[in-house]
Amino acid sequence: MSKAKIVIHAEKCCGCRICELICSLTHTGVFNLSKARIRVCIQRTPSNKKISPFLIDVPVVCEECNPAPCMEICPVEAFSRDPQTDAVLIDEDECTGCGLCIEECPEGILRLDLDRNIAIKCDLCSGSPECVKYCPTSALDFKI
Amino acid sequence: MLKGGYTGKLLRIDLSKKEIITESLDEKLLEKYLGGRGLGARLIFEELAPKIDALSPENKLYILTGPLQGTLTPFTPKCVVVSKSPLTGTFTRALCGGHFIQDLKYAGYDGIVIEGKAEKPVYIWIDDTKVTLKDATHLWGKTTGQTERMIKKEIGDDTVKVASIGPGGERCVRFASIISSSRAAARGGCGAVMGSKNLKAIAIRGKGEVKVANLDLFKKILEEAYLSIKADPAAPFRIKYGTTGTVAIAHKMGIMPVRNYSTGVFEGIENIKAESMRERIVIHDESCFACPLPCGKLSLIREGPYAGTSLEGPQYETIGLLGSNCGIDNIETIAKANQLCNELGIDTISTGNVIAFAMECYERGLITKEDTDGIELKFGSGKALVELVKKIGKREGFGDRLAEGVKRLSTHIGGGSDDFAMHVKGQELASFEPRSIVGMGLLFATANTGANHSLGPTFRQEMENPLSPQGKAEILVAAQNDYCLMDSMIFCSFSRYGLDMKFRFKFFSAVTGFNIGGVAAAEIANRIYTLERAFNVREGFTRSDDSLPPRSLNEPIPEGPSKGNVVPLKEMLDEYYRLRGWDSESGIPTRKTLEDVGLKDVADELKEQRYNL
Repeated sequence: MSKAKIVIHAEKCCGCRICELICSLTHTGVFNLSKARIRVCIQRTPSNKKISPFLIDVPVVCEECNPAPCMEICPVEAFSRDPQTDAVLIDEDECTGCGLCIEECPEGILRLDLDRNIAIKCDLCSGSPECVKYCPTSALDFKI
Repeated sequence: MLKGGYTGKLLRIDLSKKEIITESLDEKLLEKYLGGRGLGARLIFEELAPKIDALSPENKLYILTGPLQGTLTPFTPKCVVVSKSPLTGTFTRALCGGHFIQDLKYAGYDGIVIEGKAEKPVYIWIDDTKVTLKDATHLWGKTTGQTERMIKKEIGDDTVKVASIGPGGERCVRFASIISSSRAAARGGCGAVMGSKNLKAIAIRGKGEVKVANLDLFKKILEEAYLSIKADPAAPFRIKYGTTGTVAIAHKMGIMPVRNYSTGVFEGIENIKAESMRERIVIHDESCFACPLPCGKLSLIREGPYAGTSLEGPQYETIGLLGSNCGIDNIETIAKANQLCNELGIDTISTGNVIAFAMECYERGLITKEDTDGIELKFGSGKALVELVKKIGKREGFGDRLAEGVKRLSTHIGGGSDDFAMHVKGQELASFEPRSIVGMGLLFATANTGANHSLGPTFRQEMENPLSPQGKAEILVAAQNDYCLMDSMIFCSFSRYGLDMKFRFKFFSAVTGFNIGGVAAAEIANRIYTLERAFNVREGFTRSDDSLPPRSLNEPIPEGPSKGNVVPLKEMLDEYYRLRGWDSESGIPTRKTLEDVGLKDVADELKEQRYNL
């Protein structure tokens, strides 16, 4: 069992994408959505009466699997776990950008930073995730 | 050297020549006009020849961001669309929120200028730095929702951002809108300008970044801003009800327009209040991009003839115009009419006005079923409302007349109907009964776009004494100037929940590295407002056009809290010109006023065009 993770309450998500923006700012110092470690899938065209508020705006973030398929597939052992939070971390110096972990991710949330050719993922901001702090509707929760 | 916020690039697309150019934006120009509306005012004044036909290839469409779009600055999801209005012939600017414009920034552009006219229907596809014109023949005739879905499908990416026109824009309905996923650049007929250019849509996918000049400062004020928004006592109410929260208080003050602005009391008000709407149709709260205050309401009609229809909305203005102003007290009917307006791409405010006007003409016997294609056009008829929305959007039968707007329709019908044709300079009034809040009347009379509530609303400042003309000109000038700045940095009006003007400037400085203080800001605001006015002066507008419909000026409101009142316009207007530094007889800015705000070149040009300064 992993220790900490971001818990999602999709029904509360209003699709503002603030989590993606603060994530990009925190990790890269600029606003670039392709470098966010969290993503919101927005589907606002409900076409029938059965539309569920759980399916309109849906944040997706690393589930911190344990065991973690990304970690296990990595050919250069670039992955480790944060001793504080148990979050899966990527050593940017070791990562070769081969993309195997991205293919393996069951959530499809790992992605490649195309400018630096390395895989990027949520690191739980060392135990105090900025996305949770700035989420205006408490759709994101941090559970330890 | 631009340090942050701006990309410094403008995309210019000539549809006639099929030419796509990237231009550099002069830093000095941005310092003088900030971006968005200010930049648009400057560009349109310089680039448009006087007195061109707004629906001809000579008109241009400016779709502009400000320095803050694409950043995490709260309340900055909007873009500004500037053009010459086919409804009024004036300068016009419309705002569009949602999730569209940030991608233009990420693609590397501060704005798009669209000129000329395509030979056949096209759409613009901005795939990051690669810009192409794509055939849109197969999209012509489609609604905005269909267009959006089809473009996403043919590009093969559901995250592509699309803004499009519907059949209304294609047929040049004079108040056609541009729609991006239920959000609209609605007023002034920008959609008709787009349609006249055979431009069906703009699709964008931006993959780049937006920088911030002072990162540490930005993070610090961001944290402060979020605390301030959370601490605002009105914020939870607005999150729950969005703009519709205004319906109840507006009606209590006699401000909701009722049956073509004929009275201040609506007997069906309970059914169209925010609480009732929330209970009956709202299923989810929605935010625009990067906005911490989800005022958007995703609605689903659950019962009745329109069951199954979903939309984002309706909002306050739409409830006023498609609702009480047409005598409609059924929220499902209003929502359906709203959804049709969005799909057909027409402005809900002007649409509600023109239908209400036609209803009054019908009830007075000025028109009959022979004129209305057999429709029993009475106030309160939801069926008539929905039918007419469809007819306007497609310019079918009687709808073709209505698509010209209240002013032209009134001229056609005659019979003294201009007494209750509720427009200024050809643009229909927004959801504020001016006899119950006279400063808003002054705003409608003077707004550079024709009647429009969003160019400096004084509603909140006037609540204590809504009927007194005292001090209203001063309140209005300040509000109009604030909105010049907000529309140029591009803050949504909802930024009032948590941010004041000083706070907005802090974000502007942190993002751009430019400093903007009180004095400089006041000069910029005056420059922008005066320049827009100069555009209208060059088109031939004078003081006589700064008026209100005869009903607002001469017909005492028969009931409600402001019973017996009319708008005392002249006295407010005299004071207004004095404060603005405009000639009180002609309404034209004096040479001194123009030169004081750095517009000597504009003064020279007006002189050349033989206007007496």
